[in-house]
Amino acid sequence: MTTTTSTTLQARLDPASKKVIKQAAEQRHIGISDYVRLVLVPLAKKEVASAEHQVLQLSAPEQEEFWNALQAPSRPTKAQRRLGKIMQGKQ
Amino acid sequence: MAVIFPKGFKVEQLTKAHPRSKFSSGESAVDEWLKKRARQVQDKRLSVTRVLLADTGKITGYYTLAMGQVNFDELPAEETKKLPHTLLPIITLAWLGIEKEYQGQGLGERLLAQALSDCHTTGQMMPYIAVILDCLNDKAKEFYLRYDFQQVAGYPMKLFLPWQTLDKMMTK
Repeated sequence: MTTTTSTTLQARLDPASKKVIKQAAEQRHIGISDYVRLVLVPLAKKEVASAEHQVLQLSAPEQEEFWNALQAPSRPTKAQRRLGKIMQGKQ
Repeated sequence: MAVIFPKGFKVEQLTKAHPRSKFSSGESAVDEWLKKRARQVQDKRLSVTRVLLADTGKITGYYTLAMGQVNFDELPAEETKKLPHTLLPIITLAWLGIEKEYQGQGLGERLLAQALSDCHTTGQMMPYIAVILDCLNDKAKEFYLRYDFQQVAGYPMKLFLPWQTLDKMMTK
């Protein structure tokens, strides 16, 4: 890795998340810093670039959660019905 | 029927003629967007900003809407095979602000209603799956949560309203 300067990144994680990141790095036979640089940084770059183009990027489980919520749209709640009346010019 | 505003107030699409340099909502990001970016981005046809004008012509509030997409490329195969493609359209309510001296009079609620009504009109001609509400801070989020919008998974400052729910709000 050729980096001119380096800095520290601290992140607070639950033990299971920390374990799986360590495990993923070990599978590649690289350290955690290299794992962050090689895997997480490109993902972050993709999310930043997407946001500039108004594309919302979600992880696989997040996509599924959002998708399921859209497949079963909730009926308007009381507050939403009231807002709806204002939208319709009835209040 | 249109959203009812106080007498003399009207909503117009932002133009050069509107006096936006004095707008002050108490949130500098909200003010800066209106003063410096809203018209540029609107000229590029990437967002539309509409202003609420008092009878004096003063800007008392504004909102900005933009089209966007959600990437559903990692849905389970049984879901994606029902879709022609995985980038699905959304509308984002990116900005909404009320001039400081006009706050606390329910204008924010009426402007939100106007923005969602615009979204509904749009959705009758150009389809999209949901309205996304961008929350600048906790105060904005608290305001939107009064209307029970749900949170987008993984994005604590983005809420959403499915098209079908919006459609029911507008028609029932």
